[in-house]
Order: sequence, then structure tokens, then C-alpha cells
Amino acid sequence: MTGRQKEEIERLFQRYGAGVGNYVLARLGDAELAEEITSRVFVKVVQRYEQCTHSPAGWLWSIVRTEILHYLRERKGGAETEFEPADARPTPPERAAASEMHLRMREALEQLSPEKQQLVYMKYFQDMSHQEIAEATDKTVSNVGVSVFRALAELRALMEPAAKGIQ
Amino acid sequence: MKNPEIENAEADDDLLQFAAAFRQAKPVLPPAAMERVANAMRAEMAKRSPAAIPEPLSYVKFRVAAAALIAVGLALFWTLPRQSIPMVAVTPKRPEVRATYLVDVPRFPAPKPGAALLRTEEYESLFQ
Repeated sequence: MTGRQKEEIERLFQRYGAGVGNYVLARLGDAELAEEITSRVFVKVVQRYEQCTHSPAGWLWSIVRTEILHYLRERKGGAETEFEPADARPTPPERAAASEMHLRMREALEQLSPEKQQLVYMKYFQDMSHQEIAEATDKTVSNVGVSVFRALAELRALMEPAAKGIQ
Repeated sequence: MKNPEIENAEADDDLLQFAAAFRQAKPVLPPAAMERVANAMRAEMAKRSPAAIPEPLSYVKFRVAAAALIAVGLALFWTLPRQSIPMVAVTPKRPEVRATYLVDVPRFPAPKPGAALLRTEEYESLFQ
């Protein structure tokens, strides 16, 4: 691994690291688990950096998605880790409300199609512009605009009871 | 001209509010956790830097063994006792024409008789 590659990976982490961590946390609901999965994601980034030839954001998403799916499949297969979801622990009312909302967010994100999950991840977790999303997904900017609108509308519908709480 | 759905989205205040609220409400992984993620990533990078990759021991051993074998072979070759043996060149069709000369060869392994025209004295008698 060359010094230049290391710098590129560091830049990738600075730009997208927090977004990946937050998205994984939103999907799995447990900070320790999210940290572990995010670590796996960036270790894979280092191990497979030669494979990143087109858009780093799009390539990173494919790793994030694969790692989350891998974990969920393992869990369904009976190899569930013994973490206690944060939402299940007794909390003060405001934390309980936030936990309830995060739970609905998690369920809603899980129900979106992979394409819409990607758009929500890029738009609301990575704060990417429509132009950047268009480059990462090989779509036109106007197409991205329409797709983000639809994904957001669906997300709101899925989170309806909690959506009123967060507005 | 703008896409009507984008215009709708802009017009849909509720949806815009929801988008803003969603951004605010999303869970955040603590900075300390992100720092540990960064450390794990950097440790992996350090493992993959050329200076950190040790040469496989078996390969080192193989090279040392090969070098030692070559050295022993050369030493044996140069220290072998040598002898000068007379060689006689004969022409099968004209056995009376022959030439004898000395050839410097190792004692061991013993020289094989020449396949075609070179014969040792021992074999010379066969042609006489």
C-alpha cells in the first residue's frame, strides 16, 4: 500500500466516516455493534482499495450495504450477538421518545428498497448534493431529485406516527 | 424547466420540514467510537505497508539452503582428485591410424569410455 493510497483512504474516512457510522447506527440501533460494523467497513476499504475505480462514495455504499446485510443474515441464522438494544433499556421520558423514534427510523429504513436506502444514506447521512449522488449512482441530477423526493415521501409514510413527533 | 415532482417537493412544506427534522433526529455515533474505528483502519493500513510485511521464513530458508548447496557442490568439484589418462583417437575404418594424448579428468566418477572415437588405453587393446 503506497503513501498516496493511504492519504486517499484518510480523505475518504474524513469525508464519509461519520456518515457511515451514523447510518449503521440508524440501521442496527446499537452503538457498540455500529462501531464494530463500521470498523469492518473501513478495514475492508483498506483491504480492497484497489477495487475502487469509479466513484468512492458509490463503492463505499456497496461495502456498507454488504456488511449490514451480512450481519442481519448472521443474526437471522441464529448467530445473533448478545447485545441488548439500546431501545429496550429503561430510559428517561425524552430518551425513551428518541429511542422510540430511532426504532421507527430503523424499521422504516429496513423497509425501503435498496435503491431508496442508498439515496437516503447519501442524501441525509452523507449530506451529498444531488450532483454528487448523480455521479455516484450514474443517474441524471433531475432523476436523483425525483428519486430522493419519492424515497423521502415513503420514509415519512413509514415513520408516520414518529414523524409527527420529530417535526 | 423544473421537474414537476421537484416543484411539488419544494412546495410540500411538510416534507421539507420532515427532511430537516430527519437530519436533526438521526442517531449519531459518538466521536470516541469513530476514533476507535479510525484506529482500526490505520492499524490495517500499517499492516499493509511494504516495510511491515515480513519475508516468509520458508522462502528465506529455501534461499539459504540453495546457496549452501551450490557452495558445497563447487567446493567438491574443485577438490576432487584428478588424473591424467591417455586417450587414443582411432578411426574404426582405419584402425592403424591413431593418436594418443593425455586428458585431465576427475578420478571419481570414473571416466566413461568415449562413445565414438576416444578410447582409453584399456580399450585400445580391443582394436589391436
